[in-house]
Amino acid sequence: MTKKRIQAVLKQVVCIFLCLIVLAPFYMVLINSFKDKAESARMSLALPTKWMFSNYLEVIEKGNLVQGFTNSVTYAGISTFIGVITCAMAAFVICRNRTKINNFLYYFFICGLFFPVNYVTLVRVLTFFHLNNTRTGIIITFTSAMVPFCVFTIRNFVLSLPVELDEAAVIDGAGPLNLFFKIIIPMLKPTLVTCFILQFMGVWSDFMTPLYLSSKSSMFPMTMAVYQFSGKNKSYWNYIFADIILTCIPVIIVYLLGQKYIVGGMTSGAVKE
Amino acid sequence: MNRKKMYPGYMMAVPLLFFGVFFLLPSTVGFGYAFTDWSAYNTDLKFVGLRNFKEILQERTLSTAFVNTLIFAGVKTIVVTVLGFVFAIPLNNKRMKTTNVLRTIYFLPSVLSTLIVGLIFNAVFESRHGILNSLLTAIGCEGWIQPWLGSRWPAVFSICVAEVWRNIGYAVVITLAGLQSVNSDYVEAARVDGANGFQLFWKITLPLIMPSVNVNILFSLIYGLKMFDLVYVMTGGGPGHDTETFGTLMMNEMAAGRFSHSVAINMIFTIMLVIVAVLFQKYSERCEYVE
Repeated sequence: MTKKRIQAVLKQVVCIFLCLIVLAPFYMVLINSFKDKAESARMSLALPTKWMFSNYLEVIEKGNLVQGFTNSVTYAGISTFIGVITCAMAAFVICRNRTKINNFLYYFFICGLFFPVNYVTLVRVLTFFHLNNTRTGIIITFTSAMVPFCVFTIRNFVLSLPVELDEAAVIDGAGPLNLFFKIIIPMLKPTLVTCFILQFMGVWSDFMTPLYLSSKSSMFPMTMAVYQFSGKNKSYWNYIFADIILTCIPVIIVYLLGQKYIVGGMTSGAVKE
Repeated sequence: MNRKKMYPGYMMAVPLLFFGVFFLLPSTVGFGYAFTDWSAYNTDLKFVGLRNFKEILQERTLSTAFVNTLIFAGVKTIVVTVLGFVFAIPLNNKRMKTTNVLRTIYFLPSVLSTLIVGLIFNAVFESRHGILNSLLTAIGCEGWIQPWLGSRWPAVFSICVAEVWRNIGYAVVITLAGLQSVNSDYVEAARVDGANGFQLFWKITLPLIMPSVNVNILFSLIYGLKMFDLVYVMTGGGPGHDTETFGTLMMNEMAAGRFSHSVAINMIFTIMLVIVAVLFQKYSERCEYVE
């Protein structure tokens, strides 16, 4: 019995040690964001001699963070909402009406999981539609990029819904849109929430798309604001660290709130029970 | 029930339109530009055949990018998969109360933007006061101190460390879910037959969770090959072109105005990704049939 107990304690020690390795960079960023310029440049792990809470106010003002935050919420919110709902409709039709064309369309969507985005030609297409360097252009790009993942995930879930549901609704006189919004959407809720959270965080964190597609700083999301700020203030590590913390907070909150859905969604596709 | 009427095609219109026009069109039909002389200074396009490909292949940067991309993807996939087990096995214990908390913590880096990860690790590997160099001074290994992002192999190493740190949580979550789905009857039966810990793992657990490990590897590999942001933030492809990957190379060619080159590189890259995905699919199907 003692051998088992030693093993258990050993496991705990290993876990805590691994945990510290994962958390060390976070700790360094957090602690150094409260120091003054000279002290934070040394990046020691000691507590600050003087707590500089003003760093944060300074960064919010200089780093255009309020604007960045609004832009990020707009991009992530709108593109994810449109993307998830319309992909759910498409996945539903593809899954239920298996014609040859629909099967082909499924693979047509799925190949997007492997293809890299070609930004050069994408800019060209956007310019053709007069959407380059506009918020609409960025939102459309984000939406189109999340289509493969959403269709793939939601279709797997629709497979498990009984067709009898649809038949009952049809007998009661529901049209296709009624059937979808009143019957199917409530059943799909868990997977829709998963898709929404994962894609929201994905768009929030992405900085490649706005890097290629926007040149006006008024259109920058939070990530681009941080990137620009860190480029301008290379030696002010205290500000950069404070900026990092502020950008992380929204994502971490969403993550902690939606954790159940994130883990559930990731493993549903990958683990066969 | 009339299927055509109940599941009308127009419900697919929006994703089809967006995905087709703004993703697949530029990524496939757009390859046509690889055979033209399109650049920032030349919008009057002419067909030039394979000239762009010849020019790219003659430059050494493409082979550097190729090697780097393979190193990043390969090292990351192997290390992350192995560490996924190292982190997940202690967590797979029903009596342990901290499992969910620890899983939450391990996954935390995965939700951050690559930009943020890049900035954090720029600080860790900073040449004068970075944590790593301070740590090396503290434990008396001054000989190892160097500007980590200042030359090729240390920079490649640093980027790998950051990428592994970011992806560890993903591997832990998938591997742990796989481990938890293993039916404990098999393990008990093997134990009764006298199998030791290692045998249990190699002969029972691993084959049972191979499907989820395979998914893990495939996504690690594909995302590793596509890696761009982290390299862009940490080194920008430099010093010189030493840490260039396909992603940064395309960006740099585009920034330099050589659009057709960028498209040609993208075309080579896409073909490479499709080959990897298809080969892997074949391999993992075979794995599952063997069981």
